[in-house]
Amino acid sequence: MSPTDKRRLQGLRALLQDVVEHGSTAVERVHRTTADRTFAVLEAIPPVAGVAKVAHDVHGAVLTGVYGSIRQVNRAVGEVLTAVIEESTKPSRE
Amino acid sequence: MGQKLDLALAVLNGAVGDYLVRTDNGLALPMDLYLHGEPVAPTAAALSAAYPDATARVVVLVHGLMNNETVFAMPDGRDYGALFRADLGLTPLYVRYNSGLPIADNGAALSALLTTLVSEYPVPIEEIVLLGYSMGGLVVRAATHAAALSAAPWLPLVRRALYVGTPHRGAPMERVGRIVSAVLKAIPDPYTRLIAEVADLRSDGLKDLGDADLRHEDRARRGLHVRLRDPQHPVPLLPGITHHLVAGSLSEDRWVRALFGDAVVPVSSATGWRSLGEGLDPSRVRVFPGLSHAAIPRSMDVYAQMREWCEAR
Repeated sequence: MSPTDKRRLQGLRALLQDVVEHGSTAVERVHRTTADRTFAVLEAIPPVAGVAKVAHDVHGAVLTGVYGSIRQVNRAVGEVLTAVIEESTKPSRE
Repeated sequence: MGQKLDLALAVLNGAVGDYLVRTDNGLALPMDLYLHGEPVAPTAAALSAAYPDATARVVVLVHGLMNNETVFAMPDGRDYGALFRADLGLTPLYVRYNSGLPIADNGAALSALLTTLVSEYPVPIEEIVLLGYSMGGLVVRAATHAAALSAAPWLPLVRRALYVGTPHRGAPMERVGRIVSAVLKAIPDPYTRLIAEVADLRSDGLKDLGDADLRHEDRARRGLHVRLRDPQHPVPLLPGITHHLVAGSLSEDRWVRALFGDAVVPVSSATGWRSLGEGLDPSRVRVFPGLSHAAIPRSMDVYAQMREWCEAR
């Protein structure tokens, strides 16, 4: 593999990571904003306000966990791919 | 490198090439001369090896947005460069670049490349013909502007510039995109804002096409309008060079010409239309009815016209 090919392979890896990182962040923001609107309506109704507040907090925590996990896995996969590309492009000893 | 991969990289660079450079991504294309799909370093040794029959007159071909030098290839394998070589003895030099970068940056890079070229080329260069297709024509104009400011040594060698389907007054489609993006952003809804954010990821080069911005400072003039408010382009065609403009049109019909041009660039934009300064001789402007934006960089009719222009002394 030529140095140019290797640089491009690393570039593709980085670009895919960026897409997942920024994409998941943007989708999380939309998800959270949409949910906040719904919970705001429920929390304004006295009989269900308490339960709605608890559900809102739980939902927020789950969102943080799920989207955070996606980004953690993405970074881990990126590191593995970086190592694999480096290893596979090392000159052979034979 | 496979031609399909090269084209995929060209499209990617045109779409988000500025982001690739900002993030130091290895997929970003540097500006280089290319011959038969391979880069040619602008060094004396590499140029001598690549062009053993180099002539003192050269034609520099600059492609457009999201493509590379293969955009000039005709079905029989010839292209404008090869034809100029065979008919007029001009050595063709194909430039490949990251079309997602600002046009001003690519113009400056082209000027620097040509400065190196004139000192490293195998024989003393007597004449440079610049040929830009679509965005490539704006890159050529940005390069001559940068060269004029820095008194670059290659500029006095340029006698002629050929612009093929170049949006000298900008591309209305990009201006429409700018408005749609602004409207989506203004709607207080997270989904439409997300769509607007994705739309805004388009590259600086693409955004520059809206008003044909050749300098960084020209971006301050941008507004939300489809029609051009100011008919005078802030960077007129450089005097001292004979400029020739070629436009395509889907049809001879007056309305089709006015509204759609070659399907991407309106005829009024490709022919300058009162915007490029005084003195543009009508005989140096030619409209080809029936030629789309995709067909205009590889048309024998267009070549015949360009050859006729270049033969005239």
